[in-house]
Amino acid sequence: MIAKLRSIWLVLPAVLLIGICFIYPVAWLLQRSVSEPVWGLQNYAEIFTKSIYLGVLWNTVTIAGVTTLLCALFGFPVAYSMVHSRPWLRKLLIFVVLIPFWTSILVRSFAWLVILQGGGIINDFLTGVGLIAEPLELVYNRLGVLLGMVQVLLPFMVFPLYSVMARIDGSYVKAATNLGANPIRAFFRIYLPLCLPGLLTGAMLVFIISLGYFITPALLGGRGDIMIAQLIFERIDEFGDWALASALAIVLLVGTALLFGFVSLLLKLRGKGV
Amino acid sequence: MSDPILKLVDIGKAYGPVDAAKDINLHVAEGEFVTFLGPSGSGKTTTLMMVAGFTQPTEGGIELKGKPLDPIPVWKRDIGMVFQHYALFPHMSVAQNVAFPLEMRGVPKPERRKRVEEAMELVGLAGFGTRLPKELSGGQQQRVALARAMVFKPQLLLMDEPLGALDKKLREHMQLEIMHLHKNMGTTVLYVTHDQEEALVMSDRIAVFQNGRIEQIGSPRALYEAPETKFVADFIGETNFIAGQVESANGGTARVRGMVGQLARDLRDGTAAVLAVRPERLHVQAGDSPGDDNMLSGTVKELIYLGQSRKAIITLEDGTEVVALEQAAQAEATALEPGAAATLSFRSEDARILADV
Repeated sequence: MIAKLRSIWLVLPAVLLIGICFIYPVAWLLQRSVSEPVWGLQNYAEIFTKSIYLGVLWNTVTIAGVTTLLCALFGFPVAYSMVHSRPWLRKLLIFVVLIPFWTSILVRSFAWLVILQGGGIINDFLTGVGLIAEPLELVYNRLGVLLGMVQVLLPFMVFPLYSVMARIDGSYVKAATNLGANPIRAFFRIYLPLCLPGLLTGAMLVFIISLGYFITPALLGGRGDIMIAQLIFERIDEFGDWALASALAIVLLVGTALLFGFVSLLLKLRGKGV
Repeated sequence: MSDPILKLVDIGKAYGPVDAAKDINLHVAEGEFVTFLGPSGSGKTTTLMMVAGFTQPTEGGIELKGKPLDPIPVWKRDIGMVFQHYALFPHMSVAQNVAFPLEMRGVPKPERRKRVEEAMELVGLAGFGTRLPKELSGGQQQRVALARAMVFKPQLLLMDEPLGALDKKLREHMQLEIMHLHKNMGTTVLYVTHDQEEALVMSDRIAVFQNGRIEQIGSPRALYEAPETKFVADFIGETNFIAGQVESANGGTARVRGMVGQLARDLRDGTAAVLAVRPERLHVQAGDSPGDDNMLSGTVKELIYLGQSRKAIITLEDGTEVVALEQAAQAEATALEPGAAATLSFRSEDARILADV
C-alpha cells in the first residue's frame, strides 16, 4: 500500500507537464469559446450553421477520409510485401517507408510542388514529348493535397498493419484454400478479417492526424481545399477572432476524441469476439 | 492391393541442388491409415504438402482415384487436412469454422447446419458451436480441426503432426479417438509424425522417411520385427547393434562375428554389417559363456529397475554396450550383479543382419 502510494509520485512530472501544456490551454480555449463576445454557445452555432464553416468541416472530413482510404489501399500491399520478403529486402522496405518521416514536412511539400506544378517535372516531360498541349493541373487542388498527405501519412498505416500481419500464421490461409476457398475468397474471408485490427489502428491514426493537417493543404491545396486547421490559423492571424478559433479547435478535439473512443470500442468488442 | 485410391509415382521435390524428397513411391488403399514417420527434415512433411497441393513436385506424379492431381489447385482437390497447430480461424466461431468447407462448396444453409451438428457430435463437441476457438482447450481445438477436415467428406484426410502440441496423456487419448473415427468413417488417412510409438499404435502401414527417401514401408509389426535397414531398426524401438562383416552368406542367413542371423537384404560376404537384436529378445545369464553359437559374454555395467521389467546394460569384451530387457519374474530369477560376468544368448530368428552404412 505504502509502496503504491510512493510510486504515484513517479507520474507527477508527467501529470504536471500535461496539466500545464495541455489541460490548461484547452480549458482556456473552451472558456473563450463560450464567453466571447458574450457567454453562450453562439460561436458553435455559427460553425454549425454558416456554410463556409460547414464547407471547411466537410473538406476536413472528406480529405481525411480519402487520405485514410488511399493510405489503406497503398499501405496494405507494402505491409504485405514487408512481411513476406527476405530480411534484407524487409529492412530496405522499412527504410523506404520511413524516409518521409525523417524529412521536414515543409521540404516534402515543396518537393511535391517542384514535381507537380505547371512548369514542374511531370508537366515539362508530358508537354515535351507532346502527349499533352497544356500543362495538367496537378497541384493547388485536391489531388495535390491528397498526394502530399498520403505520402506523409503512409507509415502510420504501414506499421500497424505490418505488426498485425507479421503475427498472422500462414497456415490460416493454407487451411482456407485446403478447405475449398480459392485465393480471392481466402483473402476476403480469412486474411483481411485477421488484418482488421491493424487496418483499424492505422486508419484511426491516419484519419486523426489528417484532421489537424495544416502545412500540406496550405501549400499544395487550392481555395476549395481549406481544412479546419487553416481556418483556425486564419481566424486568429487575420481577424484576431480567438473565440471562433477556440470553438473550432474544441470541435476538432471533441470530434477526434469521439472517433478515437468509437474505434477503441470496436477493437475491444472484436477482441471479445463479438 | 486392389485399386489404390492414391498413387505417388516417383515423386520428388528439389530445392536447387537439395532433394527435399526423392523417388517417393507409394500406393494407398481406400480406407487405409498410412503414417509417414521420420526425423525432422526427412521429407515426410514435404511429401504430405505435395499431396495437399501446397508444394509442386519437381518430378513424378500423384494420382487420386486414377486422376492426376498435379493440374488441380489446392482448393479443388477435395482433400481434408488437419494442421499442426490446427489453424482454426480465430475470428470465427467453432460452428462457422466447421461450416467453412461446406460454405465454400455452396452447400445450402439448412443442410450445412445439419452436417455441422453431425460432425460436432461425432467428435464429442455437440453444443460448443457458438464458442470461439481460443475458448477451447487444446484437445477440443484438435477435435474441431478434425470435424472441419472431415465434414465435407473428403476423399483423403491428411494430418500433419496433429497431436504434437498436446501433453502425453491427452495425446494417447486422442490417438485412440482418431483411430476410432477412422474406423467409423472409413476415410483414407495420411498421417505425419516423428513419434514412432504413435506410428506403431495408429497405423495400418508406416512409411519410414530418411534423407528425403522412403527407407521402408510396411505394417508396424513388419517394421519392428523385420527392419530392412539399420536406420529403420534404430528409429523404431530400441535395438542392439553388433558391428562386423557378413560371413558365409547362405540364402536367407549369414554370420556376423560368428553369430547367425537373418539377412534383411541380399548382402555379399565381406560387406560391413550389423547384427541387430531387440533388447527383449536377449536372454541374460550370470557367469561365463560356454562358447556356443549366438552367445556373447560380457560384464554387467548397470542394472535399471523399471517396475514391470529390468534393463541390464552389459559391456561386451570389445567394449560394445548391449541392452537386455527382462520381465520382472525372469529378472528375479537371474542373479546379476554390477561388475560380474554375464552371458547373453538369442535365437538366430531374432537377429537381423543389416548393411552398416
